[in-house]
Amino acid sequence: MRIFLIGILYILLPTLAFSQDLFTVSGTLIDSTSGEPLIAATIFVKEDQSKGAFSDENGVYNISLPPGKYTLIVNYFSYKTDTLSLFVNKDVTLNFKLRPEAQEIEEIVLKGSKPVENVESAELGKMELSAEDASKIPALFGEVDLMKTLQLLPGVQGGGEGNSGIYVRGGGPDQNLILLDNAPVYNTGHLFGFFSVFNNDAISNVTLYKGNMPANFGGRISSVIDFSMKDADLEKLKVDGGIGLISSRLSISAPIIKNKLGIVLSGRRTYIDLLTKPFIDREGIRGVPYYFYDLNGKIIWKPSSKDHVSLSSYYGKDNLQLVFFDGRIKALTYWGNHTATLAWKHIFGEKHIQNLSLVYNKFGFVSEASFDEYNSSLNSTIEDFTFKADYDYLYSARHKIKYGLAYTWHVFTPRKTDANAGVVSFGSGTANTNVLAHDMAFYALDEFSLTEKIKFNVGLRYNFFNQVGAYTLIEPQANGQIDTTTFKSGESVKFFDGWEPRISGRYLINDKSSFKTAFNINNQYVHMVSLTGNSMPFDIWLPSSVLLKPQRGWQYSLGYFRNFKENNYEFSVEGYYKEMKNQLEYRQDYVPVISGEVENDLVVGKGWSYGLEFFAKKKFGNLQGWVGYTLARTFRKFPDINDGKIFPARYDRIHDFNVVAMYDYGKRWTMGATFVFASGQAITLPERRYIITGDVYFQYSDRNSYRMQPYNRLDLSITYKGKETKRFKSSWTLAVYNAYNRKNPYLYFIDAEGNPIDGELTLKAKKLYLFPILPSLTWNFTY
Amino acid sequence: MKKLLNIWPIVVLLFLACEKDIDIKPKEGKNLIVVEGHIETNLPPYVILTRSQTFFSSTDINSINNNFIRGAKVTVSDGSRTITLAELTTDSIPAEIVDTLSSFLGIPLKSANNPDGLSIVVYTTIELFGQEGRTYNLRVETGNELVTASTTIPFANQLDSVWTIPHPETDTLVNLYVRYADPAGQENFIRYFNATNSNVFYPPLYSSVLDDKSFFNVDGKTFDIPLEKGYNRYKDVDFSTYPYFSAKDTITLRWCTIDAAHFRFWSTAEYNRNNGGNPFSSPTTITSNIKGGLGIWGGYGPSYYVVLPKK
Repeated sequence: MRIFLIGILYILLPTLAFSQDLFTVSGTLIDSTSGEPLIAATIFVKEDQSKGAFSDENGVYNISLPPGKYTLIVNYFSYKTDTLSLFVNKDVTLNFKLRPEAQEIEEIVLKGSKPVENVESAELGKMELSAEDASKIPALFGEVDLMKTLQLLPGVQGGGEGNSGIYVRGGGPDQNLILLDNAPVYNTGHLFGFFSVFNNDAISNVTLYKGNMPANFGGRISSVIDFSMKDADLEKLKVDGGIGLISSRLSISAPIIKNKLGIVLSGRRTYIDLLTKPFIDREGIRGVPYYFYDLNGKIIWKPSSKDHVSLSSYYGKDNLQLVFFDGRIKALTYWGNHTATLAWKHIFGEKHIQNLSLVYNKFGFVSEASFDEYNSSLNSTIEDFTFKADYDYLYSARHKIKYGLAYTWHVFTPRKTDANAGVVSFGSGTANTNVLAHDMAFYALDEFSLTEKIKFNVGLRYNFFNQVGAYTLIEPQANGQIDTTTFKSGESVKFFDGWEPRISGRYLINDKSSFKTAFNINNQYVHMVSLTGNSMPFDIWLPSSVLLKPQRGWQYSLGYFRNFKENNYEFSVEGYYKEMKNQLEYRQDYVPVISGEVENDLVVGKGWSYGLEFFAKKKFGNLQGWVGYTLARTFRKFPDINDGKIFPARYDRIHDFNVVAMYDYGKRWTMGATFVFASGQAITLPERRYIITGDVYFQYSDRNSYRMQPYNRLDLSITYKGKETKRFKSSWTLAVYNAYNRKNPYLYFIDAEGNPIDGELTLKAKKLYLFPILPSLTWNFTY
Repeated sequence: MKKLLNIWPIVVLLFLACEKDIDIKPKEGKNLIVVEGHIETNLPPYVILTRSQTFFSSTDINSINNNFIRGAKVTVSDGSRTITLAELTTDSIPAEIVDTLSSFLGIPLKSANNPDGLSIVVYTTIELFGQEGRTYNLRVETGNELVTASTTIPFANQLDSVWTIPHPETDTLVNLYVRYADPAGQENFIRYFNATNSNVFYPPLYSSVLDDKSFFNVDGKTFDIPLEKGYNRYKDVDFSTYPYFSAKDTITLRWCTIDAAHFRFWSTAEYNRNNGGNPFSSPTTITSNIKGGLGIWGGYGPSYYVVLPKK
């Protein structure tokens, strides 16, 4: 009850704001050709340069001015500057449509990194990329992917091929809040992480916060990766697409009511299964038995100049069918995410922007297997229903306030199994199918300029997580007994709460350089424990509970930011130190089973990481790109693992070096190259062996005390633009992944052959590697 | 089968992958005592002691022979008596006892009946015989090292029935089935072996242990289980038909109850062995019941069944 009262208060607050003698000029800045909002464009007042504003993620800006006559100047890279004179004596809504510069000079801009913003803002560890950035970079099989591009930034690591997890500043893959139009996406990998679920054609841009996220975000301790889907074009029909080596894409954006209502739909599907059907027939399964598809849709509606309504949705699926042992074992597996977001943005009284959203998201994994007359199915899902209310309040030119709340109802089905053998059916051995929880947060933050040189972003977030019944709690005791407690539907099983301060500050040395520092505390109430350490779709998501305490992270960071040559070159160095509590791992002697409570197989420990990230970026001219280098360590300490001794985390990759280059040659040709180098993953190797009843067993070293070979790779691409007409554009891209055919290890294993008694036993260490040199050809078009 | 269900999507990945030899240089590691000890109803205990060797050390017959621990003081206690085991080399034991020992250990030992078998060092006694329901404590001292262990012989569990059904595609092969009635209200663990046309029992290749709750919760239920053929580890195996017996075989099944710690050892050891130590992530540690060493001191409560070939 109390929760609802506080919620109502938040919604009523805007109307209680008291008036001032400043008027607000606000509106939206958009691209006149695409209708896309222009993010972080500047609009300022010629007569008083201290009165300026940046447009936000939706292209919306707000400026407060006393009454008078002003000249507004709107500025954004590669667009023609717009100027307008006006007399301000009341609140005014003014929208601008900026025209891009002449098409011949297609300057590639890393969107969002305004010449001044990286130095000026009070935010640390924040980076932005647009879908266009990703499209210039060579990609595996020609599948352009922003998640892969993010891994080329310092402080962000992927786990290599075959791993869809992202590791930000030494944190685990479940510690990243990955959002698609505000909907959490729990599993972002297709086909074991070779590709992400984000079809680049459907995405506008992504913002990454490396741990120092402002108070309006919460729920994960290492990062927020915020994807925005492309808006529909409200002016004209647009069709984009492409045909690639393993998949094809099509996007259609159309206005339904010009300038008011529009829809955009995108789809992508792989077709190796279809192409190979005539050629492969194994045991009744024709072709390669795997495919995936992604469908994205968004409807934009602008009922008035102060309202913006959007409905966006994503639906994707991976499907895999296998047969073993002459058809005796058949397995059908499918998994995927489903998201839907309904959002309404309303501008209240010129100083307040209200964003209300209803979000639904679900990730599910299903595996059905049959073996002779045994049939079994395994089901693991997580489903969330969320309501969010976010407010932007322009209290004054010096204080930008944000506040809001978010409520989520979680339904977890960590592991539901069914089996039968003929007429006998087996129970799943789990007392509970569903685990239910309330998850709620309130926040407030203020971005204020203390002086000309000092700016702070100070926020506080309060959240609570309450698991409720119906639930049966099973607690094995040390003496072998098992305590069972039953909870009724809605009854509270366990309650956690926490306060999270979020503070960052910027000291401006001059208009080209600044120091920034930040401190964050973050709580996390959902956990993913990966059996293979590779973020597979069958990894289980669990809520915090009686047996699993919430994860908690502290992060301190400090950075120096410097631009050169009229902001054409950006440079930064950031250092961080991070502590993580209540980290989870499987028990050392865990043998995978599919029944019983998952929590009883987990052990708890802590982790910490620290590092230094260097970043340099060139933003103008025919040759553009960036270089990133991270020097970092990350460790874990668990009383029940490795005899309680400290060990490096598996993805403790000391050096991480990335170079990205994009070169425009003339009007028709673009070349791209990326080079990555990362120290090898930490692994555990056998040091000794012993024999029992003729079988050889391994005696292992301390955990993660050895390293795999370093990972390095060069990718190259070249794009040729076909002849352009007014309506139709096309291009061909030839790319080579892993250009010098480096056999990067996926895993190490020991091959044992022969038997010990004959003296013929040979033990050989081997590595498995996934991708040799791989060329690809893609054709893209826009109509 | 249970392991397949859990990791087969990874098997797909492995189909896509290529292999290459690499050079790794593991460090020395800790040289530990390895115990392979057994005690079962109506039979004396047998203990084989070896040491763990550096990973790439040679495996010729001399190094195998030098790897047995000789001169150790080994005692077994049943709570009322403590007996010191005598050290024997198997080629000095009478042939009938060697054959029983062969079958017990699943190793073809050298005897008058089997001149090509192995000669091993074993600690045993004729003064103590295993009894159902009792707990046995083992103590091994050598030099200044000491390892201890404890195991129980649970009460045997009788199977409802044992039979074979023909392979779906060929009638030259049969599959062995048992009907198992799980006692309700307690944890039950089984290890099984079988002998084909002989009395030397071998465990199956991949998974020789079962329990009533890891795979599915079957406490108190009666159901049918297919069992796999057991193999001599020193002979070649035809992997395409490995779980099956020939339709002409006389199959003797040895169905043993074991205690929880004994089950955990084989469960973790077999998982480790079958998956090359779970190379995807951190290897599962083998839960040994030997304090201060490696290996197993295991008690068995056996029951025997014979299935004759159908005419």
